[in-house]
Amino acid sequence: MSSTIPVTIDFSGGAEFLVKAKVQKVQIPEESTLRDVLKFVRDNLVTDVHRINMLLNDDASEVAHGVITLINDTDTGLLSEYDTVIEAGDTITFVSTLHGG
Amino acid sequence: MEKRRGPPPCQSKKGCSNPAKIRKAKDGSQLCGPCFSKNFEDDVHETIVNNNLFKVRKNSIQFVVSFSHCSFLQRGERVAIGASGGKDSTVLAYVMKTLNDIHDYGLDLQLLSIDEGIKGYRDDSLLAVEKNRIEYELPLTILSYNDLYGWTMDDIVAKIGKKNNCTFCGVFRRQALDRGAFKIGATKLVTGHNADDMAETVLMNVLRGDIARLERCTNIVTGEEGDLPRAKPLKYCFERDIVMYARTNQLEYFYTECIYAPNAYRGYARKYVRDLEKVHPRAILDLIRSGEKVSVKKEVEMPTLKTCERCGYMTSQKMCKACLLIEGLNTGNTDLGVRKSKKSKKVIVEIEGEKKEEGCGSGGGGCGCAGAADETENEETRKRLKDLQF
Repeated sequence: MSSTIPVTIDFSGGAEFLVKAKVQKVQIPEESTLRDVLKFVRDNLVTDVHRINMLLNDDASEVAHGVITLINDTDTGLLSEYDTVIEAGDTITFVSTLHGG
Repeated sequence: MEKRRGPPPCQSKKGCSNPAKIRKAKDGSQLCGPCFSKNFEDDVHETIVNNNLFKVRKNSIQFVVSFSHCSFLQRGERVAIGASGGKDSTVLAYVMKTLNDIHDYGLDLQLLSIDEGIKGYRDDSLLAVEKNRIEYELPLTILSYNDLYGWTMDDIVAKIGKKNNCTFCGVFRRQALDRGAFKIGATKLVTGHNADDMAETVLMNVLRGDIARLERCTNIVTGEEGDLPRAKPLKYCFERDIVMYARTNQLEYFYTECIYAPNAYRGYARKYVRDLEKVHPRAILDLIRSGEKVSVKKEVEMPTLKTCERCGYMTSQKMCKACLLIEGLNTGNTDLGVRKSKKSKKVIVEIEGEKKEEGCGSGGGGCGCAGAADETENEETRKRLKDLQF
């Protein structure tokens, strides 16, 4: 069985309303990419399934438009986007840019 | 395991050696947190300078903001910041305060909030504004729909349902901000409209065929013909960058969508603009530019500005939209002012026939415009609104 690594997933900017807790410490399989994390979030963390499209697209291959993804506070667009390999101890942040206000 | 590729270095011109953390949505530049913040503030300052919101004189050491009678904001002037507690107005307040300090605009900035009376939404977001008041040391004034119009949004939705409620809220808020600005003695109002909002609005006005609004919706300054000109300093700021700016500067804001929201029409426009942006990142700026380039031929009949016969507020009709909506609420004719119909014209005619001492019908003793109908001069109206006790 492959081993797992600990990561922190942080939901922010309104995305926290779709999950149980804003900051969650979880174990994900080693050598996961950001793309794998999206599926992990869909399958394990999202509790408000009716509004999941505010966070992820239909097949969870990308985040919904307007959601910013950061790894250790760095925009994943500056890393390898969805192919970025996740390392032990990383904090992955989803920031929603919800309308309103 | 393969080592992850790190971020590129910050592209800031000043030779910053930090790794980049943020990709600016507006132009794709790759910047570290402090450089992004500075870049964002410079952008807003540039918007203010280029659009002559201030008059700028070049000095040998740095830009010094000087003021002349032809610039929008004057030194020493009291400027109201429309503050909702959301990301846009929170960032606007912070950036205006920062620029006011850095560039010595010399403005007297004050926060102005409107309490629409929506439990579980506005009452919470006003707490966020209260935090801004303390942290930014800016005075805060809150006006409520209940005091101004005798109706809260909760009351209105209970009466009319969730269909046209956004019409009421939008019309009321616009007027409420004006009245609030007069109350605190502000002569200008700045609001947090961002580039994404503006692109959506251009599209919506095209879809509705609203040529008058299409022509003016991209103006950075509006209402100069009235008593309270408004400006949108964040007009060219992308929503994504506003969120990242708030995050970088650890600004707290409120982000629940309005419980009555889905402003369905805007929702579709928003989705469409975002889809466009995906295939063509310049779509937002292009839409704004399209709006800016539209000019209506002189021979096209445009609405002219008059004063409301009930409350003296500016309007293109005999009676302003807020008074029309309130009339509808108070008489149970809730389509009034929402749909174009012969009925609403009839009501206006009937109201014209009434004695004019009645005031604007806002109820609750809040409006204070009783007996105002005979005075139509702008100066008078303005003076009166300033004297109002809310």
